[in-house]
Amino acid sequence: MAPPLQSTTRRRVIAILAAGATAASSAALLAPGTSSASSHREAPYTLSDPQADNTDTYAFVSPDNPNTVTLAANFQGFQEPAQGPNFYPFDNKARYEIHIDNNGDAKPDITYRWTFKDVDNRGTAERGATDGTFLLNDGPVTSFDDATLKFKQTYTLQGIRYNADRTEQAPVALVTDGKAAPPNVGKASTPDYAKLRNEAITPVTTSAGAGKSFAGPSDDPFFLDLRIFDLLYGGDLSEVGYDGLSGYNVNTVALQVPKSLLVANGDATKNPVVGVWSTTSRAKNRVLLDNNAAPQTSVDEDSDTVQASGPFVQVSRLGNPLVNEAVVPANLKDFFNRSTPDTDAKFLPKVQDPEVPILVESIYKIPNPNKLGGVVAKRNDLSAAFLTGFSKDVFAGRTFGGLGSGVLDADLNSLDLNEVSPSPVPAEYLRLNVNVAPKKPGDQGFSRLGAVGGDLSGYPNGRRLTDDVVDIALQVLEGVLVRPAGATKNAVAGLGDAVNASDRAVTAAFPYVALPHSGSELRKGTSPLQFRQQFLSSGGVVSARAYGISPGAKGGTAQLVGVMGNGGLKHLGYAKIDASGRTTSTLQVRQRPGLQLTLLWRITPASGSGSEAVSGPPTTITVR
Amino acid sequence: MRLAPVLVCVPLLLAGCSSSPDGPVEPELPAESDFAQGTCREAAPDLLELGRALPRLGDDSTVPADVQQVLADVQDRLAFFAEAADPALAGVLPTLVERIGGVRIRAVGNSYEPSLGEDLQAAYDEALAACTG
Repeated sequence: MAPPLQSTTRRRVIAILAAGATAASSAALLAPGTSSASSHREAPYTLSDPQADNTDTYAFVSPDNPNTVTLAANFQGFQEPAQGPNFYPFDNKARYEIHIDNNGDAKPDITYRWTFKDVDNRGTAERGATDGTFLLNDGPVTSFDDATLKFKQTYTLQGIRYNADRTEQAPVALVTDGKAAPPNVGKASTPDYAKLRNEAITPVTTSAGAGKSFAGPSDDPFFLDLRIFDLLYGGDLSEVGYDGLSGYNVNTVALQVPKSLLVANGDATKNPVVGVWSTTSRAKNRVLLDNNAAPQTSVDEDSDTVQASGPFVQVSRLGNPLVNEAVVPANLKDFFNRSTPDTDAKFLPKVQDPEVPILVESIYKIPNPNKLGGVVAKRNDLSAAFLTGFSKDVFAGRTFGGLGSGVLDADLNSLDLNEVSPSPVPAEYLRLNVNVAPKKPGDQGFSRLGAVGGDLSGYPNGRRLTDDVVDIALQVLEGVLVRPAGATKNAVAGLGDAVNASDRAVTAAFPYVALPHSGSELRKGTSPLQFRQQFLSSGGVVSARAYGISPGAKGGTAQLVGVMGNGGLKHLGYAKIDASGRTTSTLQVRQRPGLQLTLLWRITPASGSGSEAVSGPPTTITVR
Repeated sequence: MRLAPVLVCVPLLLAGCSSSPDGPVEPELPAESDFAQGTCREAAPDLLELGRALPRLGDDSTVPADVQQVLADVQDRLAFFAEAADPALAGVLPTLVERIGGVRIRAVGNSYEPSLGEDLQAAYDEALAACTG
């Protein structure tokens, strides 16, 4: 019996990946490439309609105001900060919505709807002005109301509840003519952007108390190494850990409201769990103007090219991250985006037999957890994570027809915990138990891996901005919840893409998303000073090094910095930078195993180099 | 994170310290002729190659690229043998192949842990004993 040639593995892998859209879509969890991240440009339609592309949804108990819940949804990813003069406005013809299901029927009981209006003072002679300009601003902008801001957007936020027959009740206006934060054009145009952003935080008055609303650009809080596709190939990823979304912005809508407003009957004790998802909808009919049609004489809700009419239909949808990438085959992605959660049972086979473990088995020969012990089994762990949530009744198979049975014997986030919904419908959306106390980075018990890391205040109990959903999803898909204790479980329990946090830390207060990158910043690849950082832990020691440091830092120094629980920084040590762009020494931090440290490197070039000092992203590591 | 007063920072120059000047000890392995006839003998070259690579996994989170390549190649061939292995290896070889995978998938992401190497070594010792015992 002759062994196969060495190249067989590679050929087989290539064959698998080339076999069709289904394989490629599965691989997208590991490797979204530039075409997809959490849900960035993930489906054929959203590729062509980026303003409507819903990229991520978040729902969490507000860490600084635990009587409230913060809801956030992001749209239009991969925004290059300097991409003027139009930048990335919300679409004034779209509806951006966040939905709440609190009675378990997988239909919205509350919808928050943001719609935007252009305030366009750029003018043209054809539109009755005499001083048309191509610029977004014709001078520094220090306030939303400055005349120098020639184009801006306002928005209306409505709260909508539903009648028993599912028709909408009369909307309640929560915000009218709210200020959408303008783009962070650059240091000459928006010299104090934080002030502009603060102007865009709008108070909201609800029947249950005060809240806040926000709309505008932010740093994309999603993080992953886009090159992780090469991991699937078994390629040399000695430099994993680069956040492929660093430096890019996204459009955010966020709302903070009392949690009693969201839960059924306003009673968080009896009905603590809510389902949350976001959507974008468009008018069904779109008509393009004819060739040589004259410019429109007024600026209204139609653009100068498209006229929209008819009922609104859903074109993008986001609940759990990565579902439309890692679970739904390519040819069903548009279908998923227009589907509603109450019909999600049809996606059950895809949820219970995902393709990523099949690919991993092909390449790494780690048996697919779907057939542990030689028995092909339904992935109840995935059903629970995506479709039912976790509770003791789910564990015992008493609800959802047994989906999710035997996975996690804890009352966490299934809607069957609600008194009003003893028999909820399986649906793909975030599930948040509003009674679980919040934890943020630095808090005792916080884990970027959420519940997988023992932190029940994180994903899949809702989703925080800091939850590392790529690592979580990879570990769960590879069976960390269902494999028996042993070597393989230990191996999959540490899987990840080595990107553990966004390039910008979240803020301590609403809207929590970090400020958007400025158009003045040079993105990676064009910046004169770039580097990578690595933190490894073993034997109670964290070893830290920086490498791949661009030549602009030659002769400079690297400083290791610890991020304190209160957000403060602590100097830990210096290292020099050698000619090959590495720190000449590896700094070590000794701590007790199990403790989480947040560290970063700050690279300071030699004086006179012309380059500015730069800091790496804060990286949290557990001491081993 | 609570860096607080208990944190001790010990900057060290590690040049020359990360590995022994003598390198890893060459393992004592049986000769190819010591392997039992059948699957064991056919797989002997790969088992021996794996045995020589195991000490080079090291105790860091990174595994040298050439060792990763050896693991991939050896695993590919051992998986082939495992599909129709002699009864003595029927349970042993698949476990060995699986544990190579556990090391590979963590090594490629620079998140290798020595405990995974120890698990692999245990499976390897079992396979070796089944073939040469």
